[in-house]
Amino acid sequence: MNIVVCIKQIVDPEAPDRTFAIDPVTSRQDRNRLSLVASPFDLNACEVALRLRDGLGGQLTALTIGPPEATQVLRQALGLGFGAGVLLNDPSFHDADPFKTAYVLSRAIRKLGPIDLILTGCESGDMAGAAVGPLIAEELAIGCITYASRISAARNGLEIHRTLSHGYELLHASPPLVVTVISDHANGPRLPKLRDLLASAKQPIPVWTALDIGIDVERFAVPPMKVKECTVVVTTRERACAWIVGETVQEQARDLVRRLRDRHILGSETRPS
Amino acid sequence: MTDHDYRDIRSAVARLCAGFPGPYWRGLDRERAYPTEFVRALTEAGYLASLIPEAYGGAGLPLSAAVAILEEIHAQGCNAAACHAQMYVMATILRHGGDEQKQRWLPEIAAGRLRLQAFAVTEPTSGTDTGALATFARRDGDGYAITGQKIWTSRAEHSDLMLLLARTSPKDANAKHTEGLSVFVVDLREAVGHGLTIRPVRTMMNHATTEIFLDGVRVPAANRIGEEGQGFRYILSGMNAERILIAAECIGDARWFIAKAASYAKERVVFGRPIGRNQGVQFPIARAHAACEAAALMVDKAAALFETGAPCGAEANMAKLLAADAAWAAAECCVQTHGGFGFAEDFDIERKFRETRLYQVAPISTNLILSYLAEHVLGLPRSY
Ligand SMILES: Cc1cc2nc3c(=O)[nH]c(=O)nc-3n(C[C@H](O)[C@H](O)[C@H](O)COP(=O)(O)OP(=O)(O)OC[C@H]3O[C@@H](n4cnc5c(N)ncnc54)[C@H](O)[C@@H]3O)c2cc1C
Repeated sequence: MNIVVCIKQIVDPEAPDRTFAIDPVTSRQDRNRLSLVASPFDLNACEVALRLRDGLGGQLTALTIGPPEATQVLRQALGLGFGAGVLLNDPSFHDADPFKTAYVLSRAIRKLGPIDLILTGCESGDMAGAAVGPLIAEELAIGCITYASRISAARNGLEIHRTLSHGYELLHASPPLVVTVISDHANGPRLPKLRDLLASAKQPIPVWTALDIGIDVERFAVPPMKVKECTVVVTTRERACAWIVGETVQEQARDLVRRLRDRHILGSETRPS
Repeated sequence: MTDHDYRDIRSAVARLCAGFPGPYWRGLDRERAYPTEFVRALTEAGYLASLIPEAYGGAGLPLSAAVAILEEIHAQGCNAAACHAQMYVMATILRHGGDEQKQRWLPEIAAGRLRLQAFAVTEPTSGTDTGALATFARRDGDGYAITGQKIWTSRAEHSDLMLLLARTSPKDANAKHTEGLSVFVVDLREAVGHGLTIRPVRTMMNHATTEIFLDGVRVPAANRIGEEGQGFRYILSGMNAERILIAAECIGDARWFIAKAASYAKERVVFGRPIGRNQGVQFPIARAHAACEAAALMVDKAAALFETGAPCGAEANMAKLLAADAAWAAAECCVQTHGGFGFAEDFDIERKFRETRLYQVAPISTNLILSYLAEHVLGLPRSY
């Protein structure tokens, strides 16, 4: 089974809020000096891929679009046991919307040859658009199953365990297929072995440009991008502490109700009982 | 690995450690229990075999990689003391063992199937004066019968093999007291119950240390490392690596304390402002940081010298001294910064504080390092 996992490098979502900043020029998240990590659901997708490979054999390839430092997430996949990783880097890939991202990824997937399964996280850990996986399926004109937590081999294809809000459903599908992966207790990313980590550090990582994957750069220009991000704003929440006053509990309750009314949290018709 | 910082290894170690947060260690601390799951995770990932050459199934990494691994474990709030010796005790076999011994043990150690992490040198009556040790190995046919007592033999209950230093000729028969000592690999799986008794020693921190009683324990001659009578030299040659690695753990501890202290000082508001706005709170943290970074440079220097094979006794000892002091100063300022909360178990600080105190004493006490520097580096008269 040939599997491709698409991994996005994002600013560590675990990083403290105070390190989050917006670059005033680009209106995008300032990635400088922040620790960059693989988007968490993408690591769940890696684990799903590794388990399938452990059972069925086959080739695992990790793909990422990003600057040279994004090879870090590819090395992470190699350290977990992936056979190959490819960085997609080209000036024309910058400022991608989900359509463009999916287009670039699908071109790279075509170049890799016949692929049975393409996995992505169900959404990215930063923008949470949840669109790239389905759009890759659209580009490649193949089926797509979203929010899967487990995949196993079944007769004539694959059995996919799809998470629903109050349960799950089991689907049978045959490759080629795109599956987007949600986290689950069964697909937490494994820990790398030191030896694989060392081997992954030595493994060459090819970089493919727009030309390498036969991209029609025109397509990025006309028609213009379907979605454009205008700005990103960090909302701040101020917290203040107020003392409820009053000699007796009743007085304190009255004071509290008055304050809640003043802030329109309680309607004026509400009577304290 | 090309980058000197071992960034990939560090982040992989940090990810592993994330699975063993404060409550895990607190629970063990309360029970004085061994961190079996943590040690298993490190073993399975291959970290404890990082220094074993590739020919024997290890990762064949230089000492600085082990420095990065241990430092990171401690900087993440975990504690490698339960297993760090698995990394370096094998060096005595690697450097001084015969081919048959290396083939017999090293691949099994590298695979994590054999634990060699107990190291029995110290005795109740010898203390720091290793030349005074009295445990005696009497030649007996094709083996030895060993009788005596060891103390502070850490991890003996969690080890399959134990490296033991014993006398093979009486103290007075040699020109120097450190002569006439030999190193043995004792197979604890066979010896326990056949003359060897292990008794745990409870200490102020969760450290699986023991005392060991030997009464005619039979050890085959094939388990003696190197030549008879040369044991002290063999043990000494492994000590530089041990000093450097323990120093790395101290740096990790120091970084953990400093990060905790700095973050708490920014958040704790008293008198209407963060306590970290007071210089009386800032300065000890800043000083601890400076001391930690300086000590880290000495650890790097000692490791780099070690890796080239150059003499590094002075640097390894200074690294241990400075790093242990930096960790202790950082621990002290971390408790102080946290005020009362520094004493609360849930903050993990009091636990780490107890744990890092050890490195002022073991594996070599601060005084002995100072007297080593005075005598061997500065040429002052020997004081003992
Ligand atoms: C938790 C723990 C784990 C340990 N694990 C191991 C282990 O796995 N294997 C092992 O072999 N040992 C182990 N040790 C032993 C450790 O190495 C010794 O405790 C240490 O070397 C000091 O020996 P001592 O305790 O007998 O102190 P002593 O030698 O009695 O010294 C007591 C004090 O006097 C000072 N002192 C002694 N002589 C001089 C001098 N000439 N000049 C100035 N000051 C001096 C010392 O610095 C020390 O502060 C461990 C100890 C502890 C506490």
